[in-house]
Amino acid sequence: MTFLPHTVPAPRRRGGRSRCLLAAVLACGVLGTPPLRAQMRPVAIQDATLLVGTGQTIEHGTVLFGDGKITAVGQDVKPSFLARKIAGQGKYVTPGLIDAGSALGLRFQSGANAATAQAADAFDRYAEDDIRAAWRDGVTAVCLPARTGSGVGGVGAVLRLLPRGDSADLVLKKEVALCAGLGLDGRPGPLARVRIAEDLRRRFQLAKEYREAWDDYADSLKEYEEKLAERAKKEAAGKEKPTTNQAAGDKKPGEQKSPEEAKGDKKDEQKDELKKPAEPAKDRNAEMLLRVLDGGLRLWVEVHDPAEIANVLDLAEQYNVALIVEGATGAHLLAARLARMQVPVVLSEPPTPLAYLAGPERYARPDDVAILQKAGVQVYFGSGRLDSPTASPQLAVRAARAVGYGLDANAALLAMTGGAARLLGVDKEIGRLESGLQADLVVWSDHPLAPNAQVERVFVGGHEVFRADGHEPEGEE
Amino acid sequence: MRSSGSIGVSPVTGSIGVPPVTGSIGVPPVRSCLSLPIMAVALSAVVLLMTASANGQADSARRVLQAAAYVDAEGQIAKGGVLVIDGEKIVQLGGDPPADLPVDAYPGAVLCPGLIDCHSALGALGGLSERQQAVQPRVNARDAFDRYARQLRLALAAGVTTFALAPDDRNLIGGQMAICQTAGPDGRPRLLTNAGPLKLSLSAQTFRPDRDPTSRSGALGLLRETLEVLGVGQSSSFAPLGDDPVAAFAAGRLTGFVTAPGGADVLACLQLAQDYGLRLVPIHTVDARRVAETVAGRVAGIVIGPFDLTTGQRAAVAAGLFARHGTPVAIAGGLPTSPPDSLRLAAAVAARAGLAPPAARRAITAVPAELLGIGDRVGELSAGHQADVVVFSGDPLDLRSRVLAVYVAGRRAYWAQAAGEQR
Repeated sequence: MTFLPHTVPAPRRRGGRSRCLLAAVLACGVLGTPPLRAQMRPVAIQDATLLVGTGQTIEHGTVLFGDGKITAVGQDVKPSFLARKIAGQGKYVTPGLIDAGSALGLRFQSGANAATAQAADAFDRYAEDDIRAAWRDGVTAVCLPARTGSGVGGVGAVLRLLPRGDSADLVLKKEVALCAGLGLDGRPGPLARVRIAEDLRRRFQLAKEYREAWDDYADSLKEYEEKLAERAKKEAAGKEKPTTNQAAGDKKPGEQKSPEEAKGDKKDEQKDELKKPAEPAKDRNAEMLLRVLDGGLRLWVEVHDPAEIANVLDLAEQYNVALIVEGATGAHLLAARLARMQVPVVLSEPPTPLAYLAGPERYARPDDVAILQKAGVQVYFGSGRLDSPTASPQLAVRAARAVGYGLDANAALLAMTGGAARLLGVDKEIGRLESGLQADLVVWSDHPLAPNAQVERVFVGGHEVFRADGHEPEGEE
Repeated sequence: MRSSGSIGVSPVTGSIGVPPVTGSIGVPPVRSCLSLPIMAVALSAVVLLMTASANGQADSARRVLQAAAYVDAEGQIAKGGVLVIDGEKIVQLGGDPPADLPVDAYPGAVLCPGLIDCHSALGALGGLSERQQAVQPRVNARDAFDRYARQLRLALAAGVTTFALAPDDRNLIGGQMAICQTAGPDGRPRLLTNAGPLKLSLSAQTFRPDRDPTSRSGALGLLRETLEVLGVGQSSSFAPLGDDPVAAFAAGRLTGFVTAPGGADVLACLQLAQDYGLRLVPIHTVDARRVAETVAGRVAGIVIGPFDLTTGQRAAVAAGLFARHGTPVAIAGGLPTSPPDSLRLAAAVAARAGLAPPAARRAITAVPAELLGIGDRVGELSAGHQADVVVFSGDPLDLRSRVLAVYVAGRRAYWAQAAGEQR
């Protein structure tokens, strides 16, 4: 572990110099990142066990990367003599883990009706303790749902945990899903649950009505414009020479004259009857919801109660919405339905206490992940809402525990790497050790699920951002 | 550590050579759909029973546990998991077992001492602290022990065999801890001893506006006053009954578990221990970075935790830091307000944060037993110790391992059914 330096150089006479030194120490220690350069020396991690992120394992493999991207992966990769070589005997290399449901660096939660809010905007990129804690657990990318209490909170994003100097491509995907929360304000009783579920449903209903209002408006606008054009023609014709049957010829094919229109033809002269239809008010929130209804954006619902999950599934069925469920206490009770509807589940709750609890926690059980997976539900791991600012995601510990309770070990690894990347739609960028993907990877002292496994090095975008042995991450000299 | 309060329990009598399966009275109810295999097993059991009695050599209370490996006294995983149990005790570890004993075979498994939560409220009926006075010499946690609580069964299934019921952190002297077990020779939870350590607290919860002490300095003042009154043998205003635990503590005969979250609290403990000759174990200590070196050699041990997946790194590295400086580290599970596997979870988190695996295994077995004063009885797999054994499918520290069976006082109190049917 790298700790911040405690010892500050003693003040000397030649203050200027010591101040420079102090500044340099602070710069190295506080930022914790080497100065970044445009050209990077390629790095090769050699002779390690590579857990590729697809379920495949390569023994005695080499990963070669440079300029931020992985350039070669395999057993017979020969790095150039220029490359910085890292001995990987006995070590494991994985893609950087993906925390599929995090609150890292989120300093506030959005209001209850803020569909246009962007989680990426709320991310505090200077939250270095949080980011360092994530690196220490091997996490290099997080999905940040727009956290809210109950209601629609905004659009979630996927971020890469890049060192501070390199924040230009921090946001990997700006719009993962439209995020909502159900029943997260305190402990709602059954009646409140009715209201909460109804509230979300009503939003979708209003969005539909909003679209209908605009469709109506578009129709009447068209009608209005046609009439206007017709009248203009008639007027023009009246001025030159009165003709008949002109209007019909000008009509677009497939359109029919309504009786009103026909009537209007006759008494065309009464000018003031033609009114421009009023434009409905713009509603950006409704438009975001419409994107969900049209299948362009998924709906992400954070929910911690099986009864609420059932409500959300009803809603998703009713509106034919692609859904992701996060939480999610008691999801195993709905395993068959989640599998049938192909709804992925991001498990982001801390382990449930042994004591009997009156709330929905009483439905939780430690082997829920395994039950979900065996039923055919895709499961992923998230760190959820962590109370402590320096709490770490402990994804690998979560996964190992899930394996202890019956989850398939390979599925557990996939859920943190390639699988999560696919879920979040970033699998062209991260999640696997594969040539062409981002060089976000982790060197472990042992298999990531093993008891003593420690993250030894973390690379993000090819930069070494974390080292466990106390050394400063090595730059590219 | 000396043994405190011996409770003589005679071995179970009257039961004849019980083969593994029929001996499982304590297991969860088996579903009816399994009745066929159960019948088959029962039949074979009867056959075994008959052969055993026909040989006439079956020793009623003796049996052999056979696994691939075991957790040794150093916390290492050693090869050769053969354990001979006689009654409640382990009589032989390793070597060749006597040939004619019934064998519970767990191929590939690892035998581990029963896990010990040295600071818990498991099965506590009602609160675990009084509210009117900050010094509670009369409180003994055994009175809050509810042996019928369902929690105990769940804790047992997670491998927890022994736990110390501890008064909470809200009183300066909260009372005496009671050491209980999730099962016993008769298969039921039991009180092992009510002579556990004295529980003290210097946490902020102790300071209350409506009674003394209201501040940290007030707390230490009151503590000194209490110790001085009892230390010089004057009768205290509390008029304790029997062997007063506070007097025993003041005389250095009884260990005190002191909640000391911060570095300054730990230093206060050290000062008190030095001034009055006390035996103190700081508990719930998070602030390791500053005091890890200072406490080395000056306390019997230190209790870290409870912590879980949401714990900050500062707490997680504490265990490793203390251990590196040579202080025995125990990890508290904090049951039941933590998950059933909280001891292993905390040990695994601590191991990833730098606690060496053998020390991490000892932190939830041997070290808490020693600190509780029952180290000669539980916490270790060795001849003469009580046969509290958890059979894991692998390394107990590896969260991928499952609990296959739990023995308490020589009796199999739990075993896992086929995977996915653990409840």
